[in-house]
Amino acid sequence: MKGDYLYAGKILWVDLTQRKVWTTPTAAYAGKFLGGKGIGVRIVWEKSSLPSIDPLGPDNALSFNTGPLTGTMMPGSGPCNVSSKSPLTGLLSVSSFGGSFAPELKYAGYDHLVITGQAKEPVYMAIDNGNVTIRSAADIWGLDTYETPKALRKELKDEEIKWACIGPAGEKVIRFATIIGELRDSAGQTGLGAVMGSKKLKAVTVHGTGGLHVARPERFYEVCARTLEALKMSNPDKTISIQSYRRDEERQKTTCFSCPTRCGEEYETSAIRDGAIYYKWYAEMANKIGVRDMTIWRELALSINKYGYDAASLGDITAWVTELFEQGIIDEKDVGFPLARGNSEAYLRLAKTIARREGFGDILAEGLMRAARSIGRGSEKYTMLTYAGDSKEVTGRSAQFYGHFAEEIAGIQLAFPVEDAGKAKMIAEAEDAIGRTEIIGSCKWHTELNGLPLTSDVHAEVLSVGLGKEITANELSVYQQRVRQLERAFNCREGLRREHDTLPAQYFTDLAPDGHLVGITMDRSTFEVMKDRYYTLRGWDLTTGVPTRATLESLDLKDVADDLEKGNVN
Amino acid sequence: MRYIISIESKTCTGCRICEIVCSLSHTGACWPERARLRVVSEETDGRIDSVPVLCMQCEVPACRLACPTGATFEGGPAGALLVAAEKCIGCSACVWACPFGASELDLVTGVAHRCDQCDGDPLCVKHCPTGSLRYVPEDQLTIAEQRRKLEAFINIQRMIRG
Repeated sequence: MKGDYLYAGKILWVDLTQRKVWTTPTAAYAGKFLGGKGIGVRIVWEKSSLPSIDPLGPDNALSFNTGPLTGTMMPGSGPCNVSSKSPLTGLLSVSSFGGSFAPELKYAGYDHLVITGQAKEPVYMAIDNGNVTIRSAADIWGLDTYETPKALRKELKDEEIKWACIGPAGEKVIRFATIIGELRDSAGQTGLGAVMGSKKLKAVTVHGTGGLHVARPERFYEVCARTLEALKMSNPDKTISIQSYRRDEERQKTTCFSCPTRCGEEYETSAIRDGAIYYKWYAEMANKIGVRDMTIWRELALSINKYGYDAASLGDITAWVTELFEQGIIDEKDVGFPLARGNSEAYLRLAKTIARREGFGDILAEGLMRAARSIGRGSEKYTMLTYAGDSKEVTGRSAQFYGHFAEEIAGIQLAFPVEDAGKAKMIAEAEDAIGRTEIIGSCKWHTELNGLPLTSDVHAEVLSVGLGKEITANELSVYQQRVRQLERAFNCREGLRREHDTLPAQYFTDLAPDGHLVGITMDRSTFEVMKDRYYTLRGWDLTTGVPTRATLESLDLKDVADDLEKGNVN
Repeated sequence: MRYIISIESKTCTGCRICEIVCSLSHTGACWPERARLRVVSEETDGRIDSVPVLCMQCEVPACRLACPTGATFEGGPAGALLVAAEKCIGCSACVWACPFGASELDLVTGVAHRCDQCDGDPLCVKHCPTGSLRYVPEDQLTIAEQRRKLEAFINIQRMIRG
């Protein structure tokens, strides 16, 4: 293990069709892609390599990724990154969930877990250090994400397992199903739970008792301790955690492994059963569909959690269907019951029909783009789609989400929504900061974007003392640039081009019906200029939006350039 | 004066920073399995309760009494129950005797270990983000506990009176 500092050292591969399990050294990938999402994207690039590969078929690879810092003392080293080809968009899919699944995977000896193939009958995987088994999930198939871990602990007779599973939504291959971990945080966007469901893989459990060696333990401790204390001082609870609406119902805050930021909330209510909620949901659900009744809202959150599907996609779909209803495009006969804005009971009912694929819910379970296509009647006009079927950027990291931090990195003027001059650079910088955390194995909230003392210098320093070799902030940035190019190359190989990088039509016609931005719209030519600027920053072809050979080769990605050329992608 | 690390399970979020810091300072690796305290978590219907388990510095230490070779002794600035590694034969007697599960055999060395209070400056306490671990003189531990009981009593009185 010496010389393999911070890494567990192995990638665990599983072929569910052949029921075969094997390992390879992580080092084969780490030199070029460092770890976490970097290696995860590379694996999906190699395994799901043909555009014809069905995301829900046996050939698609599903990779659980940890980075070199995962499972260490560095604050925020808990999240597990997951990558695959998305059944919702057909493009690259990357998301992550918190907890301690990823650290446990490393303690068991694996930096990555890559699943290919498709089981004939429902199975789950049990990883107990070197002992990896594929077991029948006949008894747990159909259970929700609250019952599943209980059943797994009982069956394995092990209370210490960490787990990730899908709920009934994943089993029914709802295209925006999630993979849920022990804190009820999920790898939410772009349908990774559907990929798991299509492979008939109900859950993965891990129990590991190993450790991660550190090159310079004293220095590593010092840097981590300094960061931890600075993080505590910067009051991250106020910056990125949710503020409880009802103090009396809040039970306590929850957090991931090795993190002082308590961004989850557990609640107790007498009206419904207890549960846990994460920050983003307020933004994703409550705002989009205007549910102000917290009891109903929490019941909705709990049901999303238990069935295991994405709050963001569900929010989009619910808002869209409501608008169709208001516009008279669909009516009670289509839906089966009346829908009205803010009618919480109806929303709850709609959510359940989707999760069970019942009636109208079966159409919506296919995701916004496909649902709009099958409903027709001009309903597409009301979707807030960008490209490829989701309202979000491909990997689920929308820069829009960081709008309120824009001021801090770009200044008040550039942060103004219709000011275009600095936007391209701002987006690129935000992407690079978040991307950096994802390849080193840290939480993506843990960046300077959120006003936290976690800059690339800090990340480079902690990696250097941990790995025992100097990594500068610049070198770290090169890893991130390389991974960003690979992400884009993957999507271009799937057919993504410049014309697909667009905004919902409403942005160009009537951006805001009310509020202080009323009457302001995005100008198409201004938008194209912004794209030019961004492409130039990234080194992409201005006509096609594909990374140029020169860009790829400068980042040591000649093979990627060759591959794109072979597929006539240029 | 003896010091005790007091545990407040109500505020513990289960982040396990204590485990990581402990293992890093004692073994040079991030290795929770070899930490001298463990966070035990129990899940009930989606809610997770966590509590750190570590040496309570018993007045009559069962670990010391059970040890056949006299490897466990009171030492350090605050009388922690330390293990003399050269005397330990790895028999697990202290592991079985401890009423809290706070003595363990090290996974690698096979020698018994428990919390040594980091020579009077416990790192778990220092870095606990919620203050759930506190390093307190043993006489103050009691008064803090008594005050908590008083609060509970007052709450009950309020409930009865409406």
